[in-house]
Amino acid sequence: MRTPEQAVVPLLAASDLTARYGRVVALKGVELRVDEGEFVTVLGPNGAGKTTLMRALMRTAARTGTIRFRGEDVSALPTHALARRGIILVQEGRGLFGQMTVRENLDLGAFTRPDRAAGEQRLGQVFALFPRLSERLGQMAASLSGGEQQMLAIGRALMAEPKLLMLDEPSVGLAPRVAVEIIEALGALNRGGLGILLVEQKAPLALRLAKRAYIVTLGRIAAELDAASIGSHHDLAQYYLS
Amino acid sequence: MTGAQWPTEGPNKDQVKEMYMSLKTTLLATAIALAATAQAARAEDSFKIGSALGLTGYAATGDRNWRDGLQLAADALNAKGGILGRKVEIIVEDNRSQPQDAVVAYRKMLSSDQVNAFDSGCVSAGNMAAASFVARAQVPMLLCSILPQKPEEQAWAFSFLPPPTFEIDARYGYLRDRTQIRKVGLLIDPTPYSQLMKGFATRLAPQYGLEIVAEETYKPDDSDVNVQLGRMNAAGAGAVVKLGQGGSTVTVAKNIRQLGLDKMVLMASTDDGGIFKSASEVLGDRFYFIGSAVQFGDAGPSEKAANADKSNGAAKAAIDAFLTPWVAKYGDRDTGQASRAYDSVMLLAKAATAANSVAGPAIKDAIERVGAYNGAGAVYDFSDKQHVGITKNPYFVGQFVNGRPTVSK
Amino acid sequence: MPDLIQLAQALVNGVGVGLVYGLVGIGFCVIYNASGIVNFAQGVFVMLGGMLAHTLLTRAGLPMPVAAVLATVIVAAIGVAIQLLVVSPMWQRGTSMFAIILATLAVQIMIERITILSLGDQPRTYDNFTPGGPLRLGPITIDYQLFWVLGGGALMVAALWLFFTRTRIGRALRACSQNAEAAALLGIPVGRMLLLSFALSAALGSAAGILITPTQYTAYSIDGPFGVNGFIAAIIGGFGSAPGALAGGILLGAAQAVAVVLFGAGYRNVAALVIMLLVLLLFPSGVFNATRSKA
Repeated sequence: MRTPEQAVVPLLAASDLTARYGRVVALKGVELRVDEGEFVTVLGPNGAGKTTLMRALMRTAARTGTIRFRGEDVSALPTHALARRGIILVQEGRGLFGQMTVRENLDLGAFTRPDRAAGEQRLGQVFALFPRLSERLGQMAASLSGGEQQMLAIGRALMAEPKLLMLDEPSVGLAPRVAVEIIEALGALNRGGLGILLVEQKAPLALRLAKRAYIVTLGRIAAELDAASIGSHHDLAQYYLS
Repeated sequence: MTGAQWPTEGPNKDQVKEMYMSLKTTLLATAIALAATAQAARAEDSFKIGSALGLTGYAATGDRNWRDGLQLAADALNAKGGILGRKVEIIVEDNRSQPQDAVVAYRKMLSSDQVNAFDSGCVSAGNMAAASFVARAQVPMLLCSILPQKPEEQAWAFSFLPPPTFEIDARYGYLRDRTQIRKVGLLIDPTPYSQLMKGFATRLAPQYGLEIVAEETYKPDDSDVNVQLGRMNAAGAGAVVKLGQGGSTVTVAKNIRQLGLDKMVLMASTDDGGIFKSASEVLGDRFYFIGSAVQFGDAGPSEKAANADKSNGAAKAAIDAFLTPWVAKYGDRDTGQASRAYDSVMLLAKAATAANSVAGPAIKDAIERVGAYNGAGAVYDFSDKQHVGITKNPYFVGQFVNGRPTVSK
Repeated sequence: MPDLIQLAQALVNGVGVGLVYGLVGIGFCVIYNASGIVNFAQGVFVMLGGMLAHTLLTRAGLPMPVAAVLATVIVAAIGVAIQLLVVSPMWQRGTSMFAIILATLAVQIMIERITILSLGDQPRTYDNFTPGGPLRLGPITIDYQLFWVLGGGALMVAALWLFFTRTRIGRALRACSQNAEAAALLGIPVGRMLLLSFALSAALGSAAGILITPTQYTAYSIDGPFGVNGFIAAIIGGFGSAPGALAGGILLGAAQAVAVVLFGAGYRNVAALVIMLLVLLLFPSGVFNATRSKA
C-alpha cells in the first residue's frame, strides 16, 4: 500500500546530466526519469549518445549533474556502489567474463548479495527465464552463442537483485527470433515489478513493451513520448532521419 | 587469466602536456637549487676531494666504508683548521659500481666541482676508465683500488690497496704452514682486481708447494655456485681460495654446506667484517679470512692496536687516532677499508702541507716525497717509482672464535 | 661420468631457485592481471621478506615461524602502501601506464635506499629451517632447505589456485582481470581489488624470499636479480598466466643451471635472455595476447 507521496518519488531521476570525452560534449543537460516498476526505453540513431548516457548514469564515464535513486542523491557514488544500491547495467557487448564458466559468471553477478539461500532461489528464477543456461553451466562464457551470451548477461544481472535493470542494445547481433525472445523475457521481468531502462535502435521491438520513451539525438533528449503517443509511432521516423 | 581491461580513459593530450610542464618546472627548480649550492661552496674556497664510489652495486659495502673513512679524516682535519687553512670538503658521487657511471662521476667532479684531488673507492674498472682524462687534467688520484694500466696514468695515481700478491701470500702461507691441504681451487669473478689476483695466484702456487686443481668463475650476483664447487671437489681441491668480494662469499659458504663438502675450507678475499661474520656462522672453523691488524679484536681500540706490531709505537698511535673516533661513531663496523681511506686523506693533507700548495702537480710531487708513513691500516711508502704505497704485507689470516675475529696463529 | 652427476646436481638446485623465480613471476601476473601494471618493484618484496625475517630473528629474537609470518604481513602492508601512495593517485589522475610503471621502478630504488639506511648494507643470512643435512642420494646431495622451498612453494601455489577458483573474492579478482568495467558494474570494488592484488603479490614475494634466504644470502641489492628473473619467468609463461609463470620460473632456473654446467658461469644470464628471446620470437601470441588489450 503506497501513499501518494511515496508514489511520486521516482526510482531513478537524472537531471542536467552532461558528459564529455576530452573536449567533445557527448551528452548535454539530459533530464531522465524512471518510475518504480516502469518500463522505459531510450531510442535514437547510432552515435546519438545512448551508450554514453548509460555510462554516465553508471559513472563509468566522467559526468556532471545530479542522479537520485529512490530519492537518495547518488551522484557522488562510484560505479560499484551504484550497483550495490541495485542499479545494474547490462553493457553493450554484454561484458561477460569470457574465460570463466557460465556458473562463475552467474555467481559473480551475486557478488554484492552473498546470502547463499537467496542466491540459489534467484538462480532458479534465472533458469526458469532462460532454461538453456542451466544446460551450459560448466561451459566457458566465450564459447556460448550470441543469444546464449545475452541470456547469461541478463541472468548475471538478475543475480545482483536489481531494482533497476538497464540494458544497452541487448538485441545487437542476434537473430530476430532470438531478439524477440530476449525482449519478451524483459517484459516478463517488468510484469514482476522490475523497473527497466532499455536502450534500443530497433524501435518497434522496444516499443512493444515500453510505457514511455525518450528520443536521444546529438547528445540531447529530443523528445519524450508517453504511452499514448507511442501507440502511433509513425512520427518516430523524423528523429532517425534528422 | 588473460588480458585486462580498464574503464579509465588514457590521459588526453592536455594531461600529458600538463604533466610535462610540471616536470619541467620541477627540473628547473632543482637545477637552480643545485647551481646555488655549487656557487656557495665555491665561494668558500675549500680543499675539495672528489670520490667516485660504488655506493650501490657489488662494491657498495666496501665503498661505503671508504666514504666514511674519508669523512672521518676530513672531520679530524677540519677540527684542526683544515688543509692549509682551507676547509676539507669530501664530494661523493655514486658510480653504481659501473665503469660508465664512474666516468660521468669523474667528469662532473673535474669540471663542475673542480676538485683538488680524487680519493676514490674500490671499483677498479671505473677508476681505470677515468684515469686517462684525470691524468691529462693533472689531478692526483688516490685510490682504494689497483693502479690503472698505462704508465702516464699511473704517474698520477696512488694505490692504497695492499698489492694483490699480499692477499695470496697470506693465504698460501697459511695453507702451507698450518694445514695439510695442498690442492687448491680458485674461485674468480670478472672484476679487474680479481683477474689480476688470478695471475698471481696461479704463479705463486708452486712456490708454496700448492697445486691449483681447478679455476672456476662466478658472477657477483649469482644465486649459487654449486656447479663450480662440485667441479672443485671432483678435482680434489681441499680449499677454495676466493678471489673477489661481496655477499657471494656467504653464498659460497652456504653452498659448501649444502653440497655436504664436509672437508672443504673457504678462504675469502679481503672484505667487510660483516660478510666474514655471516660466512663464519655457516662454515664455522672451515672459514678463513684475511684482514689487517686494525680489523682484529673487539674489546676496544687499544686491544685492537695491540694486535698490531707491538714494537712499532707509531703504528699503535695511528690505529688509536683512527679507531677512537671510528668506534665512537660507527661501533663495531668494519675498519679494513675505512682505515686506509682515513690514511689516504691524512697522507694527502701531509703532502699538501709540505708542498704548501693546492695545485695538482705540486701535491703529486709531495706525495712521492712523504716517505714511510705509519697509517692506521698499513705502512705506506710512496716514491716517484713506487705508486703502490703498501710494501709490507699487512694481512693476517683470521677466523671467528666465539663470534670474534681472531688471528689464527 | 662426472658431468652427468654435475648436471643432475645442478638441476636439483636450479629447480629450487627456479621455483622462487616462478613465485615472483606469479606476483607480476597477479598485479598485471588486476590492473595492467607491470610492477617493477616486485623483486623488492623478495628482498624485504628475507631482510625482515632476518631482523626479526636476530634483533627481536622471535622464533622462525613467527618471524616469517610477521615479515610477510609487514611486506604485504608495504605492498598496500605502494598501491595507496604511488599507484592509486597516478591511476585516478589517468596517468599513462608507462609513467606508472616507471614510478614502480622509482619505488624499487627508494625502498633499496631505505633498507640500506634502516637495516644496513651488509649481506646476511640465517640457518636452514631444519638443521642437519644435506640428504645424500648417491653422489647427489639435496639440502634440507630445498624441501622447504619446494614444499612451501607448492603449498602457496595450491592455496592461490583455491583462492582464485573457489572463493568469492578470488573470483572477483579474476573478473577484474578479464573485464574490470563489467566487474565494477556488478558491484565489485575494483580499486580495493587492486589493493588486494598488491598485498597478495607482496606477500608471495616475501614468502619466496624467506624460503630462499637460507640457501644463499640476502641484502638490499638482491631485488634486482630476483625481479629480473621473475619477470623473465612471467614472460616465458605468457605474461598474465600464473601457472605459466610458475612453469616458466622452473624452466628458467633449470636452464640456467644447465648453462652453467655446459658453458660456464658467464652463461647463466645469457641462457635466461636467449630463452626469453626465443619465447618472444616463437610464441609471441602468449605474450602479446595479454599486452594488447592494455597498450
